[in-house]
Amino acid sequence: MRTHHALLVVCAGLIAGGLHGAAVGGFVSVPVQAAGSQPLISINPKLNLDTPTETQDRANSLGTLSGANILAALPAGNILKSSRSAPIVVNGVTVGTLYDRVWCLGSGSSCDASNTYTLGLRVQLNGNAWNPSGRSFEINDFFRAVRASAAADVAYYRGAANPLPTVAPFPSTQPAPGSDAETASSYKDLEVVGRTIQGLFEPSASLQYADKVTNNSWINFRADANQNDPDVAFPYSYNSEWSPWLLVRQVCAAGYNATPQALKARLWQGGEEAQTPQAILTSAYVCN
Amino acid sequence: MARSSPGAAAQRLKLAAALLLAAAIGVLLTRGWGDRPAAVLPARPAAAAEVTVVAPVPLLAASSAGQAMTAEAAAPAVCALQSLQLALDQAPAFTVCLDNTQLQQNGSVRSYLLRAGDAQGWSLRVDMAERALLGVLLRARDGRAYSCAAPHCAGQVSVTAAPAGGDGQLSLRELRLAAAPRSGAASAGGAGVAALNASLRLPSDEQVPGLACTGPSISISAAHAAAAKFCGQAGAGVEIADNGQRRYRFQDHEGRTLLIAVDGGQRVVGVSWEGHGCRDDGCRGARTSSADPANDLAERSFFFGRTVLPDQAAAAGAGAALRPALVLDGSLVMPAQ
Repeated sequence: MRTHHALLVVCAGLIAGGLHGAAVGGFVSVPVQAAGSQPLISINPKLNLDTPTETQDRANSLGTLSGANILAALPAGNILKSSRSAPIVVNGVTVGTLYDRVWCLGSGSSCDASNTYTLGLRVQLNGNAWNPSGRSFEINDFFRAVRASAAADVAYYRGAANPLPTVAPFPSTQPAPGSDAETASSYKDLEVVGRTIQGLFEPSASLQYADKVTNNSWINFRADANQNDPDVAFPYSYNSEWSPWLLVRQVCAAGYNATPQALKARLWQGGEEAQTPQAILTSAYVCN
Repeated sequence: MARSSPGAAAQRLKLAAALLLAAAIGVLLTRGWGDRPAAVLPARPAAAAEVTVVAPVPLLAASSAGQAMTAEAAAPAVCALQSLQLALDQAPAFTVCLDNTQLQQNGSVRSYLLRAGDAQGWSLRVDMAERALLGVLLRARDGRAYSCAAPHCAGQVSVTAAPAGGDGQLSLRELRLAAAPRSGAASAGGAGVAALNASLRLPSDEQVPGLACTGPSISISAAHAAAAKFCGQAGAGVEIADNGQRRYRFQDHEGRTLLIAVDGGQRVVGVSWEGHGCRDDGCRGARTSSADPANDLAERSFFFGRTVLPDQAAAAGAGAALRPALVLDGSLVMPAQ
């Protein structure tokens, strides 16, 4: 049943994106949504959901950016404005590192008058046990605050250090992802996006790709990250201690906050493999 | 003075013990077993007859479920660690003795957790982010719960700390919490309000495993105050300013930021922390280095040797009282981004 729903989401996403045939890379538009319940926008949802061969279509390039590193992958004309790294703390245990960046269209060290900013985050998780279960922390959904009244474009960067091939054969062992946030590879793709602050199994007992309540103040990126993922099954899926770079581009009429703002990013473990649901509200740069 | 013989001293001890025993029996006969001798009680407040406390064991004092007992029937609590004054549903306040404050960090959210060892099992949770209140929850073991959320009660909760951080205090002043539905019960059994007053000690990050500095750090000291340790536990990064300056930020888990401005010549031209700061030549003793200075994302070290940060607000003539200057010593490392 869940697989059937996933296929519906894939089809809905392709139709919504006006795509016919192979999906293409680049930013995907996520418009301001009407109030109410909305379907998530499909990027690269899981296939064979909740089966031993659960996987993603690596040949699906919808929403992807490619390049030797994250800056090279961004459209020409972007310059770096801010970068930070911060521990991800839950129950006083550091379970990983959050990388947060701001780029803008501009030259030298100044943004141009278009006020076009791209905010990006990614994480690298470790294997630390954060609760009595002894399991490593898994993030299923990444949320960041966005300008509610402005359209958003989203994209993601899988990395370049040691990427998976886009077509079979896929490796039969865990690849080494690299250690540099600029280039490290994620092995799970962006599944869906939406303007909501509801993630996997929110509300509880909902299906994986169930419709979500609109919240235009937030963008949700659904992508799994876990250094020791219970559902890993080579060559269908791999541990992904790195998330992709998850990017949202907006016009930030009043620039951005160079000081990260508390509670503006939400990292959500939804309990995909029966883990304890846990949200981490943490700091992030904010588009104004 | 001549020393007494051992036999005479023993006789005096026996006599004193007998007198004490007789006095104690007298007190019990006249006041009953429920009261303790007045000599061991703190001074009672003016409205002693309305004070509601039960202190069969001084360390575990609390009232029963909103059933006030007067001070005539019970002694005020003497708490070993700390306490709060709690009044339920307009009844007189009583003392709840609390354990030490526990600190739990989840992302930006800092929770202060306190428990009483009393029969009612009171527990208090105060959630904050960067020293701003998010919410308060008071619960009893039987499921009664009282809560409030920002901004409704933000003015009644405050955190104070030394200018350089470190141990602090959590103050609850006439904090009113509304009854919440009992957990696991369909009906709200705790209608009414709870009013809290307390001044609670907070641990510093250095006392909390997982939050203490483990790498390079600096000390931030002010005159007449203990130095605080800081290492940017909550993250570090760089901003490329429009004028080409690089502004490096180190944050702690309570949102305090050490900002270091560096010019194109790799010279530290500004340092600021919590309203204190220096500029240009005033930042003596501060320097930076990187093995890859052209790479903004490369690891970078900062060194401070008796770097003095005067009070910026007072220096700007903002009318604020002059606070003692802070002195920075030590080193920090921004990890590769």
